[in-house]
Amino acid sequence: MQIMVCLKQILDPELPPRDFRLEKGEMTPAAEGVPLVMSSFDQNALEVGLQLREKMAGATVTAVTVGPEGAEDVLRKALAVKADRAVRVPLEQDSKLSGGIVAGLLAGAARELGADLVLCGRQAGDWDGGQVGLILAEELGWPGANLVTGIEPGSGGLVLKCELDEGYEVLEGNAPLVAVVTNHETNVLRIAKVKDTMAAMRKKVEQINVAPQGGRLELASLEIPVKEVNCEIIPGEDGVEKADNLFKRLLELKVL
Amino acid sequence: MGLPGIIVFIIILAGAIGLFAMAIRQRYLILRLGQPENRFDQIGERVKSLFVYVLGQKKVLDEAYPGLLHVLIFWGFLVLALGELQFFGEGLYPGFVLPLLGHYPAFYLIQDLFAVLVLAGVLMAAWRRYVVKPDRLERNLDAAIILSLITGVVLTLFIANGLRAAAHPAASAAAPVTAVVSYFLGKQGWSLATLNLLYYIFWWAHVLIILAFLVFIPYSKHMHLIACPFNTFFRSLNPMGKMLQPLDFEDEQATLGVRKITDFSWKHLLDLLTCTQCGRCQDNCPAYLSNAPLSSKRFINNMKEHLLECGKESSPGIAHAYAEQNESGGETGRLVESSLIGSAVAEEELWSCKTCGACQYICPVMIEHVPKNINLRRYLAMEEASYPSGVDNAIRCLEDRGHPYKGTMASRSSWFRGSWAEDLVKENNKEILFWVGCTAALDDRSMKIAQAFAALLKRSGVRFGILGEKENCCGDPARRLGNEFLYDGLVRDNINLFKKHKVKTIVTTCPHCYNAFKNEYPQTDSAFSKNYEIYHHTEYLAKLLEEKKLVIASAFTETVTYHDPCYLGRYNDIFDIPRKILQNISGLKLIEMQRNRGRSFCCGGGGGGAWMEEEGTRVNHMRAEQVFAAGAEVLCTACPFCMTMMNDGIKVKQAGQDKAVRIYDLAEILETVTQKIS
Ligand code: SF4
Ligand code: SF4
Repeated sequence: MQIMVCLKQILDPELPPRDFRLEKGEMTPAAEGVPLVMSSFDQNALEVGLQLREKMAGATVTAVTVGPEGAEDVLRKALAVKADRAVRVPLEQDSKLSGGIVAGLLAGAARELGADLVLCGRQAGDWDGGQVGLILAEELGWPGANLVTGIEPGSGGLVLKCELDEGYEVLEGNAPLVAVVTNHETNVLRIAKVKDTMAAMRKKVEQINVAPQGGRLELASLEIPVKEVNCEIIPGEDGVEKADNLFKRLLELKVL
Repeated sequence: MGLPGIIVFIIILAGAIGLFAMAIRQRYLILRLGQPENRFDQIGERVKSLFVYVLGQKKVLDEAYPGLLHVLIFWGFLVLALGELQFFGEGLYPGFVLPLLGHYPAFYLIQDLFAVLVLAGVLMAAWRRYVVKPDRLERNLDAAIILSLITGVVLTLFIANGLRAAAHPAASAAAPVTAVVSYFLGKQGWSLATLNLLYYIFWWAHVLIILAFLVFIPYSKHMHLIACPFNTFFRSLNPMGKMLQPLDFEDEQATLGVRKITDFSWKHLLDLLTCTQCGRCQDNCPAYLSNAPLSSKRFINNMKEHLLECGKESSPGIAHAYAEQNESGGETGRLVESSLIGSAVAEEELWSCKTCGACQYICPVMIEHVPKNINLRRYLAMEEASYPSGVDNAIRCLEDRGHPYKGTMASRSSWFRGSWAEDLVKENNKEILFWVGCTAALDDRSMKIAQAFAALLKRSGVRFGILGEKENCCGDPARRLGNEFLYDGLVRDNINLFKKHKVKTIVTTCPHCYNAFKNEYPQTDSAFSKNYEIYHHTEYLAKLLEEKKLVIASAFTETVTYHDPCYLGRYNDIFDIPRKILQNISGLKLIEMQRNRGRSFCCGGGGGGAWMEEEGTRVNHMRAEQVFAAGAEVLCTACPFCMTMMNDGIKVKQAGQDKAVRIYDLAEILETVTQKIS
């Protein structure tokens, strides 16, 4: 079985909000001096793929990303945890890229690679779009399972465990299919061994060129919302006086 | 005694020496199982160590009661050893006199007195082990045999000498204790023949006990009698901060870290053979004292047992077995091949260590605990990618973001954002680089340390710069957590950063960064120490005060106790500088906690402890209790890790205390009492 895992390189979502910079009129936030990381749900998807490979003789895991050369960092990480192959679909960084376009590019790569099972994170950690996985299934004309936390080989095909509000459901199906993965304690991405990390540096990253197909929804403008916080300290010697003053102030403000 | 007696004596003596030599040879072959390590440099310094630590018993005397009893036994035995020659000689050949010494009455007097001292030492030891029963001492067979043998040696000596003196009053020498014994024995009205017979019986008893002792030594904890001088001679002459050896990542076949006992260097194996099981390390081990699953003493002794088992398994041809193992390169199912982790040492044990170095600082026979631990961690971290929970996130975060604080809401510019320091990051001619470090930059409480120190620099008119967002982790957490590869990468990045910014002098408030720059970066870049001047902020502040760029202008009327950060004190020997600064502040009363300076108690944050969930009592809570016990109003420290840990500890332990304790970094205290020089 050929397992393809889609990985996205994103701006570190742990960046403190006040360090998030966006030049006026730009559609892409400034990435200079900011760490770029593998989107966290994609890490879960990769772990699900690696675990499935361990249980299926002959299965391979191919990590695929869409992006500029710098995005190969996430592929190296995947190679370090022993993905078999790494493929980049070249494209310049552009957040105007809608989920639809990316899904089209990934579908092209999946066809080219002859993938049987495509794994995606449930949403990217930067824009939280949450569209690519299921649009990708649509593009490929394959069934798509959502909120998957783990996949096991079953007697008839694949057994997928999916998260529900309070509990989980189990789906059975056959490849080809697309599984959209969510996080769970069982699919935290493993840490790479040092020798594998060193070996990953020397491995080749392949390229597959796919022509982007026009998306129907486009990003028109992007701005950081301005929040105004007015803080007022209510005076008073003790609790009683403070409560009194607070009450008066709330009346003045017509809140009460 | 006659010829038959002499022949029997010679046979027994030869047998005992033979057994002893075989055992020692076997121990020597065990050492050869270890990896090479050069400990033959600075011979003069090494010889000096023998005088200071072996003959002078310097570390042993760190503790009064056990120190004294050991000195009594040790020196007593050294002197008695000479007397044994005389004693053996006169038994074998009546009228024998030891050349040179045997003609002086003082020789016999001294022998007599030192025998009493040994006896006193043994009594003190027995009292302690069997009556006081401190937790760190075991009441095992080994100890009982040794104490009985030593007592036997001294008693038979007195009795035999007494009998001899009773039989030949004219020949007896000036030996008061012997004289008393002889007086009582003489009063029994025994015939000369009986006295002589009894003398020979006790002579033989003495000889047999001594030889039994000799043969027993290599098999017991008293192996330290032989191993300790060697272990002291080959001790590490580096500051504790330099104890870890870098790894060679070019050699792809080499195991990273230590998996099996033979991955350790011979010196580490010698350490294991040397342990006397005195338990001093354990008495100072914060992990052990907080009921974490680690005792420094057990850690060493479990590996020692494993090593000795390996020795038995391969004996007698250990060297041969080693060669065979090297050739086959694969698992042979033998103990020497087996992993230490999970058998002689448990994973939890390794991760419980704070790398505080207290064990190593205290150990009277120079055993190096911490590098053993880190080398085993290296295997877990790099070959197995196995970390305890909490640490895995710190490691991932270090890889992705160059700092270990996953989930922090701060960035490296948070502490000075919007204030006067905006231009600090600009590259222009700066006197010093203020290296802020991850904790002071990203932890809410510790940011105040960075702010206070920057204010002091400004007040002193020092032109300083910071690297802001470009700053990285110094690598210390990665190294202590066993990920030498990650450490190595961070070090190289930082050295390039220093070069790019033409840095000359680096000052940091963090003892971990300080230790890395001072002791560890030079291992990667041999020109580092030459190119960069490194200061901890306590050193730099002392310098500013001395140069009168900073002047203490107001009083600080508080009772203050100073907590020694492990990486500043034990690792870098900076104990006095911060205390001196504090003592020069008027109104400030400096008091010491019971555990201070070299014996200071860790805050629990070192060695990755800051990211781990602790089992047992929390170390920072214990240290906080010690602060309250000392009766301090203010706790002063000089490390952002200590600040974070102790701030939490004090908060928790504050409940139920009548006095509140506040905690400050030395820079924060100085900021309130100094003023600008105009
Ligand atoms: S370094 Fe500290 S915590 Fe670790 S074993 Fe030694 S004393 Fe215990
Ligand atoms: S390691 Fe050192 S301090 Fe600890 S028990 Fe052994 S000899 Fe004593």
